[in-house]
Amino acid sequence: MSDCTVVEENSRPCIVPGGRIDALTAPDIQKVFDERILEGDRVFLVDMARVNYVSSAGLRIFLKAQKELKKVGGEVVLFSLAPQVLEVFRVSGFDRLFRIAAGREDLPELLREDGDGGEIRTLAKDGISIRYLERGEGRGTLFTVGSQDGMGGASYAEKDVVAVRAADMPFGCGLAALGDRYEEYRDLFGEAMAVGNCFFFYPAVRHSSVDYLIEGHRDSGLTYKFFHGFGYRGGYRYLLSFQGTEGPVALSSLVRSFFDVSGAGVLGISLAAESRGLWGMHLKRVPVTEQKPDNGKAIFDDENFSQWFDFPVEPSFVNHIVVATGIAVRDRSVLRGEKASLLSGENDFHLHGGVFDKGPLGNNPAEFDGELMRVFREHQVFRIQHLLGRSLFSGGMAAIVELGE
Amino acid sequence: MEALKKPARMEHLEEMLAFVSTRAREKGMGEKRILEVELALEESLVNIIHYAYPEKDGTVEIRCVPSGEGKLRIEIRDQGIPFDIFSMSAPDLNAAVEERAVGGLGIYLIRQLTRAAEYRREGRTNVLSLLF
Repeated sequence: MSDCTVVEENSRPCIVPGGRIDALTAPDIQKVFDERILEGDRVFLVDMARVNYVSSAGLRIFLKAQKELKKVGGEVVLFSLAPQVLEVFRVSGFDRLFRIAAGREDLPELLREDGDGGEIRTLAKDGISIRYLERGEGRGTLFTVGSQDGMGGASYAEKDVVAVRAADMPFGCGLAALGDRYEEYRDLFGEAMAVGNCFFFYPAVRHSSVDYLIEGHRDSGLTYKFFHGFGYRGGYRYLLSFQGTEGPVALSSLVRSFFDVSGAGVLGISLAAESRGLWGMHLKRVPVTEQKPDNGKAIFDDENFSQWFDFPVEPSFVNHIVVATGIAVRDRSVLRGEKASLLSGENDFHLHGGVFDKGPLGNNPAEFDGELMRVFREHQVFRIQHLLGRSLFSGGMAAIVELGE
Repeated sequence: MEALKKPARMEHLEEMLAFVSTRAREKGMGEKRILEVELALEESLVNIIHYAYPEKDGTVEIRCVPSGEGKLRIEIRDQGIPFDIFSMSAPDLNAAVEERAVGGLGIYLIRQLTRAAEYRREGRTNVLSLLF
């Protein structure tokens, strides 16, 4: 069948198919394209020197890859097309859909990055490579919402609800719901997150599904209903893209690497990343007084835990897009009072994440917000969970707000 | 007249293409033109393999019909559902990547690569006649 190798060319992955790209061989080459996209490649080259025949089945796989990559700011670049192959591209109008270099020697000119390349800096450490750009934004604000006191004993009631104006919480996490009357939303509380002024929550009930609201800040009267949680606001100080260089990166290492980018002690973090195995947990029941455990013990108690929490025993949602938000600290001692309770156990971060459909993500740091909105609009969301540090990601993007202690 | 009849399945595609390129070579066609003949044939045959027999197995026959000096006329015959491929609208070649449709290209290529291409229905048979 077809032989198809992947080499490096101009420090980019270069796919080298051989012979014919037709109805018989196209599926094999499609597989290689899909793998590259899944690996995080956004611009890849195809050396066509050894291809002497391309049919519409071949054209289709090029178009499909180009469609996927263009959405995330990438592209397929072809070079060294044989005359009869170039003719097929021309006849089909494909020479206008792809950038095509005559030969290998023309690639550097074609690939020279235009514009903002200068301000992007790079950092590589502990198997993570980060490309980031800095903005002039000052410190943002971290605030807590409600109290966690009702959690352990499942004793929350209407008096414990804190209504947070959507416009006041562009980013945040907690146990929350949407609704106007307590009787209506009481049974809908669940893991929640606000990211970029969009709100998501996963009601802690059987057969649940994520409910969400895009750009809630535009409605001045809208409030999120919290039992407890935290939020932050402020401009992005850093925008970055990251990639695991020695395999997938654990969330805990990733978060630590952000303190190499920023010198601040507390960070507000938003992430959009491709999962290689997610470890996340969520509440299965709403901890309101009506549901108090009969045995009088806390919901965290061994006797009750499994009825109250969906806790992972293996990683899930491989290859899904995960959008997450929350805070991280350089040193746990910097948080005092109410804020200290935002970090449980030995953790130095607290993030909630939403699990979305599979698909590629962009890797241009400057386009973080655009990528978020694209994911929210184009991808279905399945869960909102509290993320554990061993969750693995192949790569993705992040935005960092430096927060005052 | 030379002919080849095979089950309409992907695994016979190579053999059918080889049959036609051999005839084209005998006609003294250049290698570049032979690739174009193969391409138009592949597009026609793949279409039949994929769509002509949705519910049963069927065959496809390739006939080399006598034609003028240096020319090659190929008839592709199947007993599948009636389908005039040329009734399909041409793809919009000027569309941007995002809007560009994935289908319709094969039929467009057949038109571009042949001197003439016609469809007719003979009783229960689809006949696609391609002149190179």
